Amino acid sequence: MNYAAIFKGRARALIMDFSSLTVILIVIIACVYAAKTEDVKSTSELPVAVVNLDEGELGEKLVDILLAEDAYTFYLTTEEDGMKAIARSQAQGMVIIRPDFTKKIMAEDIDSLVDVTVMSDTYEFVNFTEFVINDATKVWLEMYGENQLRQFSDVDEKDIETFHEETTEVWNGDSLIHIVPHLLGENTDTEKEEEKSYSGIRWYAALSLFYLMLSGIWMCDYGSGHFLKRALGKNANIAFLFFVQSLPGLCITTIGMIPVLIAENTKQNPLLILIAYIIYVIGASGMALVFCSLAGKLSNLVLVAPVVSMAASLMSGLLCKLPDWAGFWEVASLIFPGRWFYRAAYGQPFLIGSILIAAGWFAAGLLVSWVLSVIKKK
Amino acid sequence: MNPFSFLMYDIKRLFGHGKTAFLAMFSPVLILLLFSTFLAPLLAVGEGTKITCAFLNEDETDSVKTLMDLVVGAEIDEGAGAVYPVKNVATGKKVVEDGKVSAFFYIPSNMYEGTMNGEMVDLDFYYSQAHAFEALIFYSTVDSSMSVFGQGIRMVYIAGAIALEHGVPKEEILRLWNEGSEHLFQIYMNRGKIIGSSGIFLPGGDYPLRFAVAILFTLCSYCVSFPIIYLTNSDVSCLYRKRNIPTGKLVGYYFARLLSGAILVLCTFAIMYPVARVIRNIRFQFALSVLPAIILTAFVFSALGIFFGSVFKKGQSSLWAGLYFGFLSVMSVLLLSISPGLPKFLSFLIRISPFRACVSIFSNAMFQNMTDRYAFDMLLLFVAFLIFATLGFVFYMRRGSRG
Amino acid sequence: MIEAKELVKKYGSFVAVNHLSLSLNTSETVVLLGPNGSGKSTLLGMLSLTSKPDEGTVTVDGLSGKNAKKKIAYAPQEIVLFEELTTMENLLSWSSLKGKAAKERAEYLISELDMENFRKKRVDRLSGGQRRRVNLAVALMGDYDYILMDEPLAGIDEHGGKCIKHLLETEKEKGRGILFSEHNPTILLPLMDRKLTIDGGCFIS
Repeated sequence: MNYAAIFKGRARALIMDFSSLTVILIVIIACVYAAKTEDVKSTSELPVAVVNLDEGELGEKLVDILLAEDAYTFYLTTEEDGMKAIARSQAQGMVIIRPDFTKKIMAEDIDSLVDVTVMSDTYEFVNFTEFVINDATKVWLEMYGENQLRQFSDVDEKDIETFHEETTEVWNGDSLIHIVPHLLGENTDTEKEEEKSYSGIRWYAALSLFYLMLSGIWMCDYGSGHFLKRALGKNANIAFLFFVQSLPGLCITTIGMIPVLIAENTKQNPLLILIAYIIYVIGASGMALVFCSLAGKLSNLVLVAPVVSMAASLMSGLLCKLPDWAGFWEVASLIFPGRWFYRAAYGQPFLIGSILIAAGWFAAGLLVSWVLSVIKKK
Repeated sequence: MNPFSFLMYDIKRLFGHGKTAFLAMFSPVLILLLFSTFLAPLLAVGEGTKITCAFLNEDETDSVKTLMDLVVGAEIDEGAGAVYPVKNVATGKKVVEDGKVSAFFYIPSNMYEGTMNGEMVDLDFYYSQAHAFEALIFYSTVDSSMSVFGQGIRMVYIAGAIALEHGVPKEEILRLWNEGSEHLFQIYMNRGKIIGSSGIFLPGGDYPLRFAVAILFTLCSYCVSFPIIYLTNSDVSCLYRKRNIPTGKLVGYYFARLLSGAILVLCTFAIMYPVARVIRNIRFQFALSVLPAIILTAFVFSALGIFFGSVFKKGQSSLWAGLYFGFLSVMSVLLLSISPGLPKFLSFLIRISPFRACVSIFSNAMFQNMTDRYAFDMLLLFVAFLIFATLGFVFYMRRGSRG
Repeated sequence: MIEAKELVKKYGSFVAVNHLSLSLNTSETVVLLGPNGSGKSTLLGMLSLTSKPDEGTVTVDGLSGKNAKKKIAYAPQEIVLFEELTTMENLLSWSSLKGKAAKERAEYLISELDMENFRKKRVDRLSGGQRRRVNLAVALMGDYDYILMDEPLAGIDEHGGKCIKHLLETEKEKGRGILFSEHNPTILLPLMDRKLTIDGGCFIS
């Protein structure tokens, strides 16, 4: 076999293959975007309709407080328009201030002051109800304070006004009670490190497996009975042949990693992460070979590629943090190349383990394709 | 051939098509299994998962004690979490580090005094990496409600100062303070009632979980269109084209494929739905309203599959187009879910996309049943079905009959 | 000389090749005849050293193993190509020659087998007959002493057949030994030095 010619041909084919090239381009753009935005995303622009049905005046007060919140984009509207916005998914949630809002607060009643509707359209509503409750509580408390003050005979309207002004300042200002979070069990350096989620490079690593599989229709050949036979007939070294064939894909994914890495601005040495990534994609291409040769043809591959890349990255923690199962999975997940890349991203030792696992998957890929071709020949 | 045998033959071909149909029907089970073991525990904070928390209160003031007793008691009653009192800070940190609890919450001795004097008081919240996700959600919940609590105390303080200016006797003000903070505790304890539910900590429940389940359901059912695309393409581009099938028969084949495709999608649902119920006790409600949504979805994706399969000459291009459509649809739904500040036109496009409607109709029909949204999404899906089915029919007939 | 002695190949209880011995000299063309399932492909597989016999030995000029394999070009019946690569890229990729020599050989085969029109086309976009020609050419990309082909004419039109005949003539003149199986070798008959008919795993003539 003429390996140089194989590399050249495969590289040209990959660059001319716009279908799969578009996938990696979209992936790069999305991951650069994810890397850039993760630090900034403290406030959300998710629209939430606020409907004030209150017959008294306090509803307006709550509306003012809600509109001042920057965690969500609250906007005032009518009930009908609010419903419409929800139906057309122009708003992700709705807060309806009930008609008896003022009446109930005056009676020091707190039962069912507002109605909250949240559509499950997003991940962002984890604390949503908290906001509404807290803001309604503020109105309630302020009214309560005013009533208390009015009990004193010489307190006049001006004082009440001062009270409201100062209270408003309090609502907008700091609380007296602040809860300080501490992360235990790690030294202080990694504590800071953990604050960064590195979602850009993590997702890029996860999606590059997806790309490797989609652009690896040629890998399906390895599992078909005749390919390995012919290559062996040509005195080929199968491991080297596979490496040369996958090299263009490795190069493209590695080049794509660079902008993501720059955008991510990691605290680790970027060069080290790049090395970890290269080792990872070698393992990933072995993984791709396993599943491509099992899939056998494109119509299966389009099904297998999303499922496998999702599964593998989920299990290795690249997609999101791993849940804790008494540390079992911390160990079990080490058989995935992605886990070692994850470790590298967070500054944990990775080199030897990742090389071993990558080599293991590489060998597994060859083994599976060989077994398949033997089975199919018979 | 009568219409029924048209259908039976087509079902036989579609289902018997090697491992593709098998893969399409059973990969959802794998996805759901993974989802339930890896993702759901992270997303289901609030309902279902319990937050265990160690707790140390060094503030001996009666009010704080009552408050904390109430908080602890209420949480345990609710079953939302378990709270374990510890004797000192060191023990608290240790149980967190050992992974016995998710977090350790520490109230210093000066909390009441300090806040009453208008000083900033820091409470400490310890958590470990292992439980970081749920602990942080818990933290942000406690932090936001405690901050309102702190602000409330400040407000009581302002009222007290105004009263003091007006020469109100000290005992009277003290009474005001005590009463005020007492009320504050009361409202804090029942804060859930404000929106008509109960409990103290009410994070967004399982909204993220619902969203994720809906996306998975949509994605899995969409995956089924790949075998439809593949088989349709090889039918119209190779078989029918070469054999010169009469138009009437071709129409029959089209509708048989549409129906058998929809049946394949429905089968996937039939496998997926019970599995989802069993493995993660996801609380589905409104099962009846899901049914029309599932059926309509099945037809939309079947029509879409036929459309992609017959619009391109080559099977590869068809599959790629289908893959792109799915890939971009998922991306855009996720994009819309995090940043609605997209360009108007783009967000409009995403909002009317059948994929978005599908995700929304599942999360809505399975968990919430918001009628207006349901009706709108059904309408969108129906329009999408009409468009894809018509386009698919036109391309199918053109490609299949030109010999 | 390729020398095969007492070759046996079994698939389960079915004996595909039963104690066959044969030899192929350089500058000699041998045709292997026989109906479907008679054991032609199995025999060619063993002679080309791509599959191992259950019994018996194959030596090439007294050598065995890798060194022996280097002397044999083998064109299987199945089409095995890099589907997304072009004709030219396939020829170069499968070549055991490197650099300039590989290119010259590729150019030679392209002109001999009349593949000029589709030298830059991806092979998955070629017609059946064109793919067969590429498949054959790929096998010949190297400096071999012996050429083994499994039904080289299958699916190839008359023009293609003539091209192949001319190519084989030249190869024979260069002193290469050629062995191929065929149902109906009319076009290639003039080349033939010897004829072997096989059925049920045994030679019948």
